[in-house]
Order: sequence, then structure tokens, then C-alpha cells
Amino acid sequence: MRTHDRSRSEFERFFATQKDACFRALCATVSPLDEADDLTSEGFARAWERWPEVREHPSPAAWVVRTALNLHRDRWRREGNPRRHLFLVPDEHHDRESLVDPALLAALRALPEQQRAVIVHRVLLDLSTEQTAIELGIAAGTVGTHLKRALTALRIHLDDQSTATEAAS
Amino acid sequence: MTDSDDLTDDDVARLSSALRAQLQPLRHTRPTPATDAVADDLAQRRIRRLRAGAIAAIAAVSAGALAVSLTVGSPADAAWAADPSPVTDELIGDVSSACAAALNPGSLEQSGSATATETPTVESLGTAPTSTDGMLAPPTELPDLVAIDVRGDGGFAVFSTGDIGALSTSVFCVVSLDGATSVTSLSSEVGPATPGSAGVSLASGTTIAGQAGSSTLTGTLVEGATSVEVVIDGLPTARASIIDSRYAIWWPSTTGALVRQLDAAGQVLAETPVG
Repeated sequence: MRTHDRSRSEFERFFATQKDACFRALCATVSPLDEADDLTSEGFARAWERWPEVREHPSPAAWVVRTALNLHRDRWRREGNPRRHLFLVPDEHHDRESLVDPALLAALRALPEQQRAVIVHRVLLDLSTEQTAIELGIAAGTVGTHLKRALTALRIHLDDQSTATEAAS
Repeated sequence: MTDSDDLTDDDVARLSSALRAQLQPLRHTRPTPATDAVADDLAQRRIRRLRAGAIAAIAAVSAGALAVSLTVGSPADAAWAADPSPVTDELIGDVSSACAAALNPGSLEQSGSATATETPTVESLGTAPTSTDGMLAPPTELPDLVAIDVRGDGGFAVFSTGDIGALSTSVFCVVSLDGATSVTSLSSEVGPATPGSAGVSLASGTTIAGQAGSSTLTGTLVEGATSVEVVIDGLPTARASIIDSRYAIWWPSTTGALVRQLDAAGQVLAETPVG
């Protein structure tokens, strides 16, 4: 198999296994979901552009999310509030918002930036505490602190779910 | 209100798990990973986004690209192929002769098989002299061939005296191969051949004399690159022609493209959106 083919299939596996996690990570910050969808695609497209470099990254998924969020910030600065696209580009998947508790999404997006970043990396991208600390440039202990504070803030929206999960199991 | 210090490790694990479960229904909906060409799919999406102007500024600036107006005639109407004609000495000779004859009708008799279909005038040689206050005059003979791409029934060649960033003279020559090599359009430019370090020059013909336009693209290879594939919206992925360290390609539309440079092992070294 040619190197290019191997590289492509490797990227495709990465895309297939990580796209939803990256999308959810972006949903924690970005609204509407269509915008998060676009940013996810763009993040992966840029990862493919630099795949030889990105594949060596400790967490390629974190690289995709960070790249997409940087792009989001750039767009925000350039275009203003991206929500205005709601009126320009209808969200063809608007019903997805109703698949999750809107209060949970709102609470997630309202978290302080560092707490949200820890939730994104530690929980949604499933990185270890150490990986999260490296990725965010903070101490491992700080990761634990932010994680507890964030989960405490989200707890009211999660307790019912976790109780139901425990009951089911 | 619950203090975060009250959370045990078990609580953290349970709540984290609940958060993942609650968000589980959120799934990325595009593009579909079922295709065996995810990257191309992503590339096509990027091109569409570029066309929509969503991230319009990326193209020319990131590659140091220069968009120039170029009269592109019949290639838009000609047959087009994803693979270029091999760049042989014979092809270079035919195209060079035709372009030289068109540039200087006096050389027509010496150009053998070349047939000039139009006689260039000062006007048809472009407008660039005004941009350099006449420091250099349009050429009377062709500089060195630096890029050529012929595919299907048409192609183009670029002749240039200049190094990147230096004052130079470039001649763009569009040829048709319908029976014989003939020139369908000629323009010259006096001034910096290309302002960007990447040396990419994109000409998008838009609408010329009521005809649909074509695009021509030429650029320099990054170190280690041995081939160039170009993803063009609505067309099969194409391979660019290469001479020395310069690639070139034309396509029969004014849509943007994604230029992907590969090394001998097929590894992508650089990817540049243009248009």
C-alpha cells in the first residue's frame, strides 16, 4: 500500500472515530449546531492538510478542536456574532438541539472559559488529567479543581440522568 | 449550593459519565465518513465555502498568489482532460513557436507549423506597462519558458525573464491544438513576475467577450514535491504539468481549486486553496 494511501486511511479512521467527540466539544462553545458542524469539518480539513504533523500530536482531536475554536474566534471578530447566520443559513439539523437538554447546553456554554476547556478536554475528548494539563498549559491539580467546579455547576442537569443510568444498570 | 470540594472521585466519574451520555445524541452530520475519499470530500466542501466567501481571504494571501486578468479564449470551449499531455520537447517546441509567431508576426515564416490566429497589438499585449511607467517595454521576443500545461484540445504557456520579486517580463500564451498548434490569446505583463514567495499566479478569465472563462494556475513546487494534484469543484481531480520546479494547470471554469503537492511517496506536503 502506498504511503499516501496509508496516510489517507489512517486519517479516515481518525475522522470516523473522533468526529462526534470533536463536534460535541465544539457544541460546548459554539452555537448554533450548524456552525459547530462547519467548524468540525474545517478543523478536520486543516488536520488533513498537516496530517504528518498532526498525527504526531499527543492528542490530534484536541488539535482539531483548538484549530476550529481559533477559526471560530477569528470569524467572530471578523463577522460579529455568528448567530446572525441563523437568518442566512437555515440549520437543516435544527431538531438536534432538542435531542439534548437545552438547559444543560446553556449551562455548559455559560461555564467560565477554563472550566469549560477542562470539561471539553477531560470529559468530552476523554484526555487524561496530565494530557489535559499539557494541552491547556495548566497544572494537573488545577485541572482537577476546574473539573470539580464545572461538574458542580452542571450537576443540577446531570443528577437525574446519572440516577437514571444507575437505575438502568 | 453544593461546594465543589464535596465531590468525591466517584462523583466526578459519575457526573462525567452522565455528561457524556447526555450529549451522546449530538453527532457530526457532515461529511459522511462512508466515502473512501473523505479528504477530497472535505476539500470540495472547503472550495464551496471559499466560493461562498465564508473564508475568502485564505487563498491568495496564504500562497502569495497573484490574481491577474488574462484573456482566456478557446480553452473554455475545448475538450479538457484530468491528465495533461506529456511535456515533451516536441510539445514545448510547437507551443513556443506558435507563441513566438503570435508575438512577433515577422517571425511567422520561420515558425514552421505554427499558425497565428490573431495578430497581437500593443493593446492585446496587456496593460502592464502602465503599471511600471514604461520602465520596460513589452517584449519583442519570447523570454524563457517557465510553465506549460496542455490537456485536451487546449493549453497555455508562460514565458518570463524574471526572478520572483524582480522586474521582469512575462508572456502568457493560450494555445489551441485543434489540428495544429495555434495561438488563441496572448498577453504580456511587465513588472514583478509574482509578488509572493510561493510564486503562484492564478488567472481567472471570468467572462471575456461574452464567453465563459477558464482558469490558469502556475506556481512553484515546495521542497520535496514531485507531483501536484488539483481538486476542482465539479471536475475530476486533475494532475498538473511540471517543468523544473514549476507546475501549471488550466481548467474550463472559474471556480476555485485546492492545490495539493505530494512527494514521491504520495505524502501530502502542502495544500493550498486558490480562487
